Amino acid sequence: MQQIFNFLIKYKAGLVFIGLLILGLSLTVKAHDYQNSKIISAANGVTGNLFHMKTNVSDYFRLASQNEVLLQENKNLQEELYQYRQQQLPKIDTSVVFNDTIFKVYTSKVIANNYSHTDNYLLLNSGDKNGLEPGMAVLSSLGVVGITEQVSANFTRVISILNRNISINAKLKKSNHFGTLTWVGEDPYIVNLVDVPRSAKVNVGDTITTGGKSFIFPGEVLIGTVEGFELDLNRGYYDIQIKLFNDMTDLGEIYVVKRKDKEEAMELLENTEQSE
Amino acid sequence: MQKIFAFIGLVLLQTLILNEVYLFGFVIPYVYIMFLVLLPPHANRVQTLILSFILGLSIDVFESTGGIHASATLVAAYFRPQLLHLTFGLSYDYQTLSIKHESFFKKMTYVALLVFIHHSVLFALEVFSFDLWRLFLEKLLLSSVFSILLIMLMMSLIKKKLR
Repeated sequence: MQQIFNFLIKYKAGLVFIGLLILGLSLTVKAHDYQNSKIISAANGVTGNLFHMKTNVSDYFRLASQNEVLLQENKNLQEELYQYRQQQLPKIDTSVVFNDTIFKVYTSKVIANNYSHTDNYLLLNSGDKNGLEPGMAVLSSLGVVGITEQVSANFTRVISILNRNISINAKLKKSNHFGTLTWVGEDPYIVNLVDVPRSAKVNVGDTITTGGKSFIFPGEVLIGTVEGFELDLNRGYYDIQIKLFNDMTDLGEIYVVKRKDKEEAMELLENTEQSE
Repeated sequence: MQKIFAFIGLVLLQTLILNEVYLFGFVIPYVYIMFLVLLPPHANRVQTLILSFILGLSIDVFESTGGIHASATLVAAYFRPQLLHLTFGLSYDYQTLSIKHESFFKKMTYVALLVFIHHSVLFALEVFSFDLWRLFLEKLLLSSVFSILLIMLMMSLIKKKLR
């Protein structure tokens, strides 16, 4: 017994070191595992409020660029509206159309933004109280930003598209060939579209949009343009590099989109799996 | 008491200002490791380990990075006595060491070694993949240079104030 105590006292620094190291490494491994990433995160009161305070100050320095983005978006929306009016000559009751949409849009603001890591997250300043839930699409006026992951009362953590764990259904706008959007972990302006079938005709400059084959993202949301591509001859699939429309290093006001029929569809899927 | 102020000050400095720096688009200097330099050379070993783990963990909480900063700071703290012995030699062994009064070159070596150990563990855990070794080296090299420069700068500022 005496010897055990002596041993413990003699090597206490080493033992504390090893114990804490195991704790630290297990937290790290957990964070890399997307499936159960219940890690200690910034979506809690203390850090969230601190980031919120910071954003209140730093917002003033970004007013000009945010204004620019909003103006651009207004312009695009106006153009779309005119086009829409041109096509739909017989007047339609817009209130009915909007009540019937399956998407609900919330606005929110990015208060913490990472893009230099290999797995990045964002923090939004709205949460449970504002109606946000895990698994909703996060978009900016220029394109896709990420997916909500962890929601607390006032804050929400978002998996950025600059995260190696993310995979989003996307397609070539002109030919409707689908692929999976991923990130390799290096350049915050470039993402990759993999598993595009060989039959697709890919050109540099082609537009990539979301595929709409998911219950998270609406279809036809802009992502970026083709920067370069390689054909994997063994597997017969394209690996396409995409330049994002979005500047992920400068995010401000964003939209969170909820698909209202998601629960229903998920339930149906689960039921089929159970009955098999 | 001073320790606590340094602790909180460094966490705030790192999370609110330096994490937004992004030199050349992706380089972040990690200066909070300076805490280990500010601690007295013969501070209690177990206490130092626990403190540095908590320091790293608080950075992790802000950055949503799991435990990478906690592990990296812990490893750096564990090797601190060896580094002190290596750079300052006898004056450390005889417990007369005061980092403030050491030569610039020795201080720089000490800071550089500490930063290098910390950043190696940090980026290895962050990248977490052998395929990205080029990215790992790039980050390690660039971040280290700027962390060392900033820590030396801040040390000289603090020294002036103490006089």
